[in-house]
Amino acid sequence: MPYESVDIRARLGYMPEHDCLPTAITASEFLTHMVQVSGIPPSQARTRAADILRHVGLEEERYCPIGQYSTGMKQRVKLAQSLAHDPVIVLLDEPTAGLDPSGREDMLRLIRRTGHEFGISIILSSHLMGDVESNCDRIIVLEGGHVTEQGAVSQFTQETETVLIDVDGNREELITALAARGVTAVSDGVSLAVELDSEEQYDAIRDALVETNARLRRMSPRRHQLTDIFRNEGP
Amino acid sequence: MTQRTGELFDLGYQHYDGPREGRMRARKAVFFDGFRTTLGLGRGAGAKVLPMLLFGAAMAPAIIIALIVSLTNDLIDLPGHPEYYQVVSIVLLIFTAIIAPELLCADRRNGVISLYLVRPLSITDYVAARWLAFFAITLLLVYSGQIVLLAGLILSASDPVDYIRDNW
Repeated sequence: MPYESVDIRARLGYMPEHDCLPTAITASEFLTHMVQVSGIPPSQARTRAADILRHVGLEEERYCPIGQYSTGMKQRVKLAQSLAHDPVIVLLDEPTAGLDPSGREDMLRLIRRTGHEFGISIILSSHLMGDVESNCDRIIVLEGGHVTEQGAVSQFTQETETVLIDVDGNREELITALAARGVTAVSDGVSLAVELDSEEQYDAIRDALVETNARLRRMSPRRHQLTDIFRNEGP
Repeated sequence: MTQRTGELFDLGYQHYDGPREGRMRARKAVFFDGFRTTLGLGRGAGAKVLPMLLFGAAMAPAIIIALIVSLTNDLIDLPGHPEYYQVVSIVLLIFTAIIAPELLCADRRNGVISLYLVRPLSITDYVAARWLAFFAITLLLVYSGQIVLLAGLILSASDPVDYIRDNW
């Protein structure tokens, strides 16, 4: 296969962040046209357009001019046009921009389904780390046009050897009791953060809790969050 | 228009394994879209008003000339195709000035251009297809006026066959 960019673009989907829809024509009409521009003959284009609009959740609305749509519906049309010609790879630029929380959840579910169930590779660009964390398999961090980090999402969010402890009262006593057992507890907001060197320190924490009679509310390993990637790179 | 229809997602997505005609199909699609946009086809009634008005304005002189000729019946120096052009050229100019920018600028204004350029279509293809659409419409406009006028002149001539022979 000759790797000409025109041929490649026939199997590429792109959903831009900015507005990219005409206002005067209906979503159905627009999609049919766009599918044809992707190289699919008119007879099939109409069916594809109808199918994909149903897939993204636009039913009767697709016969209204796009100018009358809400932001959420426009985002769906934008997603639809990027998927309609059955691309091999899809680039989504901030697909949840301008959506309310439930609309965002719908959009992400749709993207997840498209990626996992229909086997279309999706590259999602987003500044919402939560969206990335819950929906992506792999992450590529770009900075100044260079790849600075890449890998599986789990690699970025793996557990560290820090335990967070929340107690109800007797907080100071607990810190002292822990210190007596050679465990350093650092106050981290409402929680106490304990850096663990060995497994035995779990026992020390338990003993200290029993001794001080502190009511335990929460004890959990701290997970690195994706936002830490950016925090760590700060000045 | 804010009603959500989330339950419909589960109908699924179908892969496409039919024919893909690539660049040629893309060119044709842009051409026909330009044609339809200009004439207001597939759009609301409002979009059809201006093209129809201009079309009417280009047609009217042809009909009027043909009527004058048939009514005066060779009494005056006959107006014909050159006279028609003099009158209608201003309409053609206005028509051109309105539709030509609309064929290219609307896509940039809406941002649709960025969707065209990620499809199997080069910038040249896009501009050429739009230009051809423009050209086709202008040609249609010019020739339909001429044909109406010719038909009118033939019908009002005392000897239609002779008229055709003389003016071909």
